Amino acid sequence: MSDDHRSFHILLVEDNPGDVGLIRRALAAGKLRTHLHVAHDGLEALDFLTHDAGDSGAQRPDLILMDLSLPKLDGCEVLWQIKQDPLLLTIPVIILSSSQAEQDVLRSYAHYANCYVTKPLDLEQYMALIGSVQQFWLTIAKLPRNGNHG
Amino acid sequence: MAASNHAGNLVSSTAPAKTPQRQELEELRIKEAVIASSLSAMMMSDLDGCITYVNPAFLRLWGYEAREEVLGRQLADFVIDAEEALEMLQPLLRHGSWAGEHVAVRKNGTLRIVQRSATVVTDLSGAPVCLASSFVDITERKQVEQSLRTSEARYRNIVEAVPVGITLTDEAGFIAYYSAQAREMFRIADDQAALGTNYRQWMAAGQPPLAAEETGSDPGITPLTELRLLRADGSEFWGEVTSVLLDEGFATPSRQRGSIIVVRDVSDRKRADEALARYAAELERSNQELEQFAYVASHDLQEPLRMVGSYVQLLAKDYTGQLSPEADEYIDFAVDGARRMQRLIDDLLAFSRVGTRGRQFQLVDCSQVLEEVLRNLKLAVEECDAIITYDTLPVVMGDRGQLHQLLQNLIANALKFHGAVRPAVHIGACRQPASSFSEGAGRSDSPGWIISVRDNGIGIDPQYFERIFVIFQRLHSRAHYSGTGIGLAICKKIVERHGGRIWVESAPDQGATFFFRLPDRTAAGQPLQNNGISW
Repeated sequence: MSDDHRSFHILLVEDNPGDVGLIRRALAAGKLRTHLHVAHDGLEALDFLTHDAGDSGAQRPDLILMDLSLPKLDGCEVLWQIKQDPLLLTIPVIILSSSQAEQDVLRSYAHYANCYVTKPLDLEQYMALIGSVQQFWLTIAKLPRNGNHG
Repeated sequence: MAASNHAGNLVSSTAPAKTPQRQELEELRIKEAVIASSLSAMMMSDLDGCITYVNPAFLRLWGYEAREEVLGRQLADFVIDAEEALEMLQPLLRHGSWAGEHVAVRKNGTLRIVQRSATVVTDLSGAPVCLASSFVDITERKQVEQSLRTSEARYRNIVEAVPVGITLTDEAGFIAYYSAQAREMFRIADDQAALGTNYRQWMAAGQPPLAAEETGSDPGITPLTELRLLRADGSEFWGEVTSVLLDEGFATPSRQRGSIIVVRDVSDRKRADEALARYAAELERSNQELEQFAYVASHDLQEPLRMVGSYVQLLAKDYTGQLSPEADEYIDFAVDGARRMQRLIDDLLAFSRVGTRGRQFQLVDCSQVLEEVLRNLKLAVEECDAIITYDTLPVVMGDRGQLHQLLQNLIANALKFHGAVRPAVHIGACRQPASSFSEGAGRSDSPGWIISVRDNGIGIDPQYFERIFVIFQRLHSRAHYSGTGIGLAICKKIVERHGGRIWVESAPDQGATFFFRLPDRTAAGQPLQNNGISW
């Protein structure tokens, strides 16, 4: 498949550098070529997504991994903005949260999250989870090729 | 003839028998007979008070047999108040009459109170001739009066002394009397203004009238009622009020029936009750806050701990064998510590969830729950080759998930703390009727179920019976038995949230039986309303 040779762009919206490090490591352990872009809060994420691609060289991500509790703009608000935007709404958004609360799960799906996963407490499980997410969304699931970008 | 000649004043037996004189003499004789037969004691004396005549009643009153014992002496000799008996002669002579009381000394020494009325007898020209006195024995009357006064004083003292306010009203509720306590209680300064008012004026608005007054015809005591009452200054206080309707009137002359209203000031108790209720509410709220705090805190603690745990694990993974043996050991300790803390926080969260994340109570078939639990514990049962037996368990009102957790914790414990012999666990159930007594369960009024989990394991020393239910209390070293010591604390909390209690009977090496009692809500037909805070 041609996809095997393409590199995937992933936007990670996460304010905790520790989590960023773990996810970076987990992704690196996979076989896929991924470019990880990191936004440290909600505003930065929206900035990245709505910025002219030409200027910064930023790519429209194939996948967004996002924490729920973020500074400045809460994860659900970012989710809402993305899903309101006809240019962005086709990008799958995976909510990666430490919260097990039912209401957080409901709230996320109500805002059209594509998937909600809880960060495991155990390192091995954490690594395995990121690997699974990557595996599923980038190889098993069929993604829109170029979205609405021309 | 009874008349004395000593002064010759009353009858002269030597008078000549002329016709008009005879007639006078007859009249005199009749009068003397009347005097002699009178029940009143009578006495005549000269102007100096020297006794010239006494009638039989006088002798009877003073207890003498013969006139001679009395005649020629002063009355002062026969009374205790001799001075007064002498001194009254002056006013008597001046005014012509005197009335007063003496205390008579009878011949045998006993005393009588006598009322005396004395007049000066004058001749035709108006000149004083002699003194006439009559006496009435008023000792009994005095005694009755005295005992009445004593009795009145006694009852008044009781009415005034009891620490309640007593008010008398007529049948229309108008106040005829109130005790000093009532005056103080209602802060009455002006008795004129207060008397005659209706008792309802002294009650805060919007309260029912007293029952005795309401029912009217039934004399009786109304039950104690707590009412808000009004003082004269307009302030309110709580009074415990009862009233008695009386048929015998003492209220007002025009109205024969009335009520006694008894008021006790219970403001202090009311205030204490209210304070208690307030404290209870505060305690409940602060308990809830504490639960919430424990939940939030432990949840938020997880985040940084996850980082610590993850990165020391990465350290171990990437650098074990590359540093020094000491460094490897340090990293191991850090990994183990982080893991243990993670488990503690997990348990703390689970513990606080019992209160904060409980579900509505519903009918739960405990037998079904037990089957699920045994399915979950299949591996643990097989591992130690345990024999599990059980009775049919009841259907109760409860939180299904929590009852599951409860049974699972107890059975898992029974398996975990097995001894040298093959583990045998029995789950039993017995119905406890209302008002029965069981040593562990204490006296209980509502019927309930006692469910027990009995094992043949290592047992528990009785001195630890209370401690094992306290959060994070462990009896064994981690090396022997793993666990944080949360399981039984969660069990206790679950049982208490269900309105029951949990206890254990055991001895070292004798096995242990855990009991918990759940109130039987289904039998009463009253499903327990779970308000989510009743833990």
